[in-house]
Amino acid sequence: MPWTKLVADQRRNFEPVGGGGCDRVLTYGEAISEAMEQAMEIDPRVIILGEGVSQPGFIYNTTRSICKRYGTKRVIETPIAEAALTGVTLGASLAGLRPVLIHMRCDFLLVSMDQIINHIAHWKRVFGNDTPLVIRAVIARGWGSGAQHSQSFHSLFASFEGLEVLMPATPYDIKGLFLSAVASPKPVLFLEHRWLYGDRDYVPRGTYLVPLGKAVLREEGSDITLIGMSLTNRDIYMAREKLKSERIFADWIDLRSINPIDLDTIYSSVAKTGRLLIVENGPVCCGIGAEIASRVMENCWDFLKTPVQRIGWPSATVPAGPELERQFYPGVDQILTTIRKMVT
Amino acid sequence: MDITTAFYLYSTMLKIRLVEEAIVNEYPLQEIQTPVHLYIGQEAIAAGIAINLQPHDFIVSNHRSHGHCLARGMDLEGFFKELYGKQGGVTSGWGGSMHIGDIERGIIGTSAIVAGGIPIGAGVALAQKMLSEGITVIYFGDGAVDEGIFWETLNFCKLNDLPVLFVMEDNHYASQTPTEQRHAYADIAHIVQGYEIPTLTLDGNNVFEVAKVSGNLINRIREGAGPCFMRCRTYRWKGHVGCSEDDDMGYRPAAELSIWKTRCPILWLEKYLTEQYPGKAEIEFFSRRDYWQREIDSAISKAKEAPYAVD
Repeated sequence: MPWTKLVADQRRNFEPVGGGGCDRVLTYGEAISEAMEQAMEIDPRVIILGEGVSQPGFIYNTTRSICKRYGTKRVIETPIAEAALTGVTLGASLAGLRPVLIHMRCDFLLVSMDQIINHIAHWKRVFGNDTPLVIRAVIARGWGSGAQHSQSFHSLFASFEGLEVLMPATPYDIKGLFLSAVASPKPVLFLEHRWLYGDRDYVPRGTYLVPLGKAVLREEGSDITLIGMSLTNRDIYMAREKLKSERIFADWIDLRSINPIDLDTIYSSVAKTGRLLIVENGPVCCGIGAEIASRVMENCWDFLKTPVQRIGWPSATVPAGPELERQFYPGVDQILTTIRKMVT
Repeated sequence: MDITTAFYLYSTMLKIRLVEEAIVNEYPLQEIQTPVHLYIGQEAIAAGIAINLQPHDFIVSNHRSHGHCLARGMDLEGFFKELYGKQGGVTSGWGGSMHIGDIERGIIGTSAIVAGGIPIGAGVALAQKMLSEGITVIYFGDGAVDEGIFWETLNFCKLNDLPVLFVMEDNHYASQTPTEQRHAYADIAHIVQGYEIPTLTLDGNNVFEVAKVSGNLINRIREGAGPCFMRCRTYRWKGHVGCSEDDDMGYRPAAELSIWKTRCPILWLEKYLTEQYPGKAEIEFFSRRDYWQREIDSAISKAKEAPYAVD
């Protein structure tokens, strides 16, 4: 299998600018584009499906290079038929391909919920056959995207052990996690964030794998554990300088994998800090933060100095108007206020 | 139809019928603890299509899948062990009657969500087209065409000329709701033809007709014609689910079942074979029935003796 040539990633530290033994910078969007191209190069079984994949726009420019290089046989333009296409993706994976289905918005996943849950998530357990497929979907935000174009469904899919759910936050991770997702025998839901597309990072030219199911400790500190996911890592990143000036030092964990949750990394951090704040990229109610909080209380009770706190969206319905939007999304200020209360 | 093929078709139909009847006999013991959707009355469709399939072809089926899977060659012992929730079941006790499969024997799997398996079959066919090998048969009932995903898949298959045979088993009821209360159109064939997909309506209780029509369509698909569609008129004798004939529910006209029983696909073939091969036919009927009954009895007793599937 071509995938066995890749070596597992050992990198543990987040370096947004400079270093890393690599001299090339890519954006998040360029990194996923390169990852898809390299996946298709490594493995002729990889195909790409989706509405708009070969049209001007090219899914935020992430499919332009593969269209040029591999053409319509392996980059398949589709009707707007999310439900059927998700089933097609499953069937293709069962019969020897490694399909990647792309949705321009995370919200469109709901149209295909029956195929994702009733079929894909249960298939391996029931029938015993591997389903090596990836579904890419992009979370959006702002400019009035509103109730049906800016949702984030990572928590919704986290109940199903037959489905891996990833939320890469950096260019390095999006490339390495995508290659791992395509190489995996399991189905992977790959949730990107539109606002991260311009973020830059050092990205190796060659292929590399970032392990599935593993969080990463972006920064170390002993006062509090902060968990970010996708875009909320940026808020944590921005909050941390201010915290340092107040002599508050945080363990910052980028969750990366929503399902499974890397509980070991979380437990060992909480055992050290005794405090945990989860910054959810989605509604607080029944979010992945609720599951993490429960697990931490079950397993780290003796270490906790203060109740676990969560920050996230106040409701599941995202508003459209600019001022409503501004009020809706929590940001750096809310993170700082919450941390100060927890630490003092 | 040559004599060997005719008796082979008979044997396959008989196997399915005897398996389903064995389930009916066993079900009251409550050792089979899984909802069963029986295929009695529809055997000609599965048997007629299966003889046209090759090892690298696949089938995808639905909740009423026993006949499709048995005709395709599912192992009887693994089948019964699955019904009994025992170790060695075809889906290791995780599937039950509604989720049986064996990819090694050309059975991708079965979905109990109406129309849920249809796009999966299209995906298999997409892979087959890219890998230049085989075709896929997708079985579904007349209820499945009420679902949007059926039409999405039909469109996608035509758009990409996928090697798919759509087999609609039109038994006139979706659970208890008759076609007239579900379809705004008189004839689905007209609509499917609108996609320029070769479409044929046929007597699904005539195994020769099913074998011939499906054979022609499958040959065309193998030659690259893209998807084809068969609408097989048939009738299920039992209720939607379970082992009773459910006449007491009152949704079927009183005489309807008895009329269709006179059109039993197996009796029809027995009559034909008796006329064509007097003497020989009766011997064949007896020996095949005897053979399958022994096989079934053995599979059931092994299933009963086997330990329960555990995680």
